[in-house]
Amino acid sequence: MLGSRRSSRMRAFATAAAGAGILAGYLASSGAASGATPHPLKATRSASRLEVAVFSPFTGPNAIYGYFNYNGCVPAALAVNKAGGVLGHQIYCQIIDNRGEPADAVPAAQNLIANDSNVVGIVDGDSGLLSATVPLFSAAHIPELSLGGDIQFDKNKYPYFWRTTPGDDQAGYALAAYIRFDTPFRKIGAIFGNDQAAQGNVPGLDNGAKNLGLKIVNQQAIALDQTAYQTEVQQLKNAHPQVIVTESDPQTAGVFFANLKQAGALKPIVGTSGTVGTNYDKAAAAALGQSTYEKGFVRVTQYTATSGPAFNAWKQALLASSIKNAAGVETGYGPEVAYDHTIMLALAMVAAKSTNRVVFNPYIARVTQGKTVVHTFAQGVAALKAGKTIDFVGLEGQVTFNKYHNSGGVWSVAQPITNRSLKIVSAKDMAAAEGH
Amino acid sequence: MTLLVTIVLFGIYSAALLAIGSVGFSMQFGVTNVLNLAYGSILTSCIFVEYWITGHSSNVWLAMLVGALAGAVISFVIGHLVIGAFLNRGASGFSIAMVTIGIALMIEFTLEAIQGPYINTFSANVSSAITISGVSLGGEQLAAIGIAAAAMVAVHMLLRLTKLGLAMRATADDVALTRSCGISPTRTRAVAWLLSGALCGICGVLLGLDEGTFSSSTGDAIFVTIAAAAVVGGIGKPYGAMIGALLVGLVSEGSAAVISPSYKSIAAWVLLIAVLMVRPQGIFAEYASRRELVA
Repeated sequence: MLGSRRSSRMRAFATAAAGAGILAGYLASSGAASGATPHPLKATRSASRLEVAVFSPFTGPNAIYGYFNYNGCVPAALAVNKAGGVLGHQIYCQIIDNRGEPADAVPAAQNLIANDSNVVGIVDGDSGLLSATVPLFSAAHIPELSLGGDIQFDKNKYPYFWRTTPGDDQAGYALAAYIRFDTPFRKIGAIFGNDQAAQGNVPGLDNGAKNLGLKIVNQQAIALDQTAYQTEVQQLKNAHPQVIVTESDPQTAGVFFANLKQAGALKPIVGTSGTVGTNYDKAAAAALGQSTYEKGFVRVTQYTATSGPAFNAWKQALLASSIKNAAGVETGYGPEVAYDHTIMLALAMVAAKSTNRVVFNPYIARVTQGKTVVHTFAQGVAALKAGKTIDFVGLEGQVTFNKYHNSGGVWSVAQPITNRSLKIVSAKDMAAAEGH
Repeated sequence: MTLLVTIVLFGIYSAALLAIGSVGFSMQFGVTNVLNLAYGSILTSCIFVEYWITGHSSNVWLAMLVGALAGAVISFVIGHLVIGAFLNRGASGFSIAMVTIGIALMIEFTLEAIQGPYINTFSANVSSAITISGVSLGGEQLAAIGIAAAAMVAVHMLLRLTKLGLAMRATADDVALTRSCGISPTRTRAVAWLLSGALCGICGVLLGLDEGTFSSSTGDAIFVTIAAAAVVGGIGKPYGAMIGALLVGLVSEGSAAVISPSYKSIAAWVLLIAVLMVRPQGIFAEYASRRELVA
C-alpha cells in the first residue's frame, strides 16, 4: 500500500551510514539497553515499560509515512495506559527510522532486534521493505502488524507477520470494480511508478479490467523523479483513455500531472491508497490547480471509520495525546490503522495474560474473532476480565485473518485532501472484478 | 509525428537542464580535479534558498539570479574553504570524494530537518508559449532552453576569449606549468568553484520551478544523470558536457517512447557504457583518461 519511493544509488549508498547513526541516536535517546536480546521465551521484561516500535521512514522522501504511524500509535498507547496499561505495564511508542530504503531498513531492524528487549511488537507500513525486514522480525519472534501491501505476502508464511490490508493486487481489482460499476468510463489509461509498491497494483487491475470488460488502452510503468514526462503523456493522450488510474510518489505525480495539464490531456484520475497523504495532495494540487484536483481526482483506498464508537474513542485519544497539533493531524488510512494495530497488540497481551511475544502472538488473531464485539481497549479488557472472548472492531472495521495472517478489509472511494469517504466498493462488485 | 516532435522538443528541454548542470560539474572537475559528489545537494540547497528568499516566487528571472548567487556562495564555501583545507593537508583524491559525500549528507540532513516531513511546492506553471505539431512548450520551458543556450555561449566565450578562461584551461591541463607562467592556480580554482556553483544553482532553480515540487533529495536523482552526461562528453571538458547532455536528453526521451518509460533513467547509463566502450575518455576529452584524481 504505502511506500511509493524515490531512490538513487548514490543516496542509498551515502545515507546507509548516516541512517545507522540516526537510529543509534534514537536508541540512545530512548534509553534502549545494549547487548544481545535474550531468547523471547526467556525474555523477562523487568521494567514496566513495553515498547511498540514504529518502524517507518521518519526522514527521507517518505518521512510522512512515519508520522502517519506514529500519530496512530501514540493515541493508542495513551488509551491503553489510561485504561490501566497492559497487565500493569505502560506502553510507549518508539520511533525506529528506516528511511524507507531497504539499505537503511535492514540495519535498523537488526539494531532494534539486537538492542531492545522491551519491544513487544512492530507497527509498519511500507510495501517495499517487507521482503527485507519481515524475515528478520519473524526470526526474532517479534509480532509485526503491517499495512504494507507487498503481494509476496498474500500467502505469508511468517508466523509473526500480520496484515490488515489486502495485497496491492487487490487494490487493482478495487480500481477496476469502482470504474466499472460507479463510472461511465470503459477505457483506462494506467500510469504507475516503476517501483515495487506501485507495480503491485497492476496484475489486479489487468485481471479486473479483463473480468469486467474494461479496456486498458495505455499502460505505462514510469521511471520516478524525471524532469519531464511529456513523451509518456503524449503516448497516453494518443491512446484516448476516458479515465486515468495512477500511483507514484508525490514528486513524480507533480511533474506528470503538470505535463498532463500542459498537453491538454487531463481526464478524471483515480488514485490508489499509495496516493494518500499531504505531500501527494500538495504536489498534485500545485500541478493541477486546487479546484481541478478536488473535482477531478478520487482515490480508492481502504475504508476507515469516520463515525461510531471506535472513531469517537480514537478522536478523543488523539486530541488528548502529546502529538503536536493533534487536531490538525492528517487522517485517512494511516494513523487509524496504526492505532488499531497498537490496540490489537495490547489486547492480545491482555488476552494471553503475558507480555511474552511467543505466548501472545497467536492471540492477535483471537482478539478479532471472539464473540463479544468491542471497539476500544477498555471495553476489550473489561470483556476479557469477565471471561468473554472478544472481537475487536476498530477504525478499520471487522478484521478477519486468514491462514496467511491477512485480512482483506473494505474498499472505499474517497475525496482527495479531506479523505472523506464517498462510497464503499461493495463485496459483490469486488467479487465480480476478481472473476467470482 | 506528434510523438516524434514531443521526443525532440522535450529531449532538448531535458538536455538544457542537464547541460547547465553538467557543464558546471565538468568545468569544476577539470580545473580543480576534485570529484564533487555534493553537487546534487548544492543543487537542492539552491532550490530551498530560492524558495525561502523569494517567498515562493516562481518568477524565472528572479529565481535564476537568486539560485546562481546561492549556488556560487555555497559551492565556494564548500570547495574553496572546506575542501581546500583538506587539499592543503595533502588529502588524496579518493579521500576528498568521500569528504564530498559527507558534505552531501550533512546538507541533505540539514535540509530535511528544516523541511520536516512535508515537501514544498511552487505554484503551477504550465502556460503554453508555442505549439509545434500539436505539442506545446511552456514559457518557462522555453526560458530554460534559452537560458541554457545563453549559459553555454557565455561559458564558451569565457573559456576562449578571456584571460580567466585561458587560465582555467591551462590549470586544467597542467598546474605546474600554469604556476610557472605566473598564474595563481588557487585563484583560478576559486573562480571555478564560484562559476560551477552558479551554474548548479541555475540548474536547480529551473528544475524546481519546472517540477513544481521539491524536497531535500530532489538534486540526487538529476545529479546521477548530470554526472552521466558529463562523463559521456568527457569529464573535465565543458564542451563535452554540452554534447553529453544533448545525447542523454534525447536518448532518455526516445527510450521512453521506443523501449519503455520504465527504463528512461537507465538509458543514460546504457549510453554512457556504450560511449565509454568506444571512447574510454568520453566524446570530447583527449586527456581525461590519463588524468588522475590527485590534488
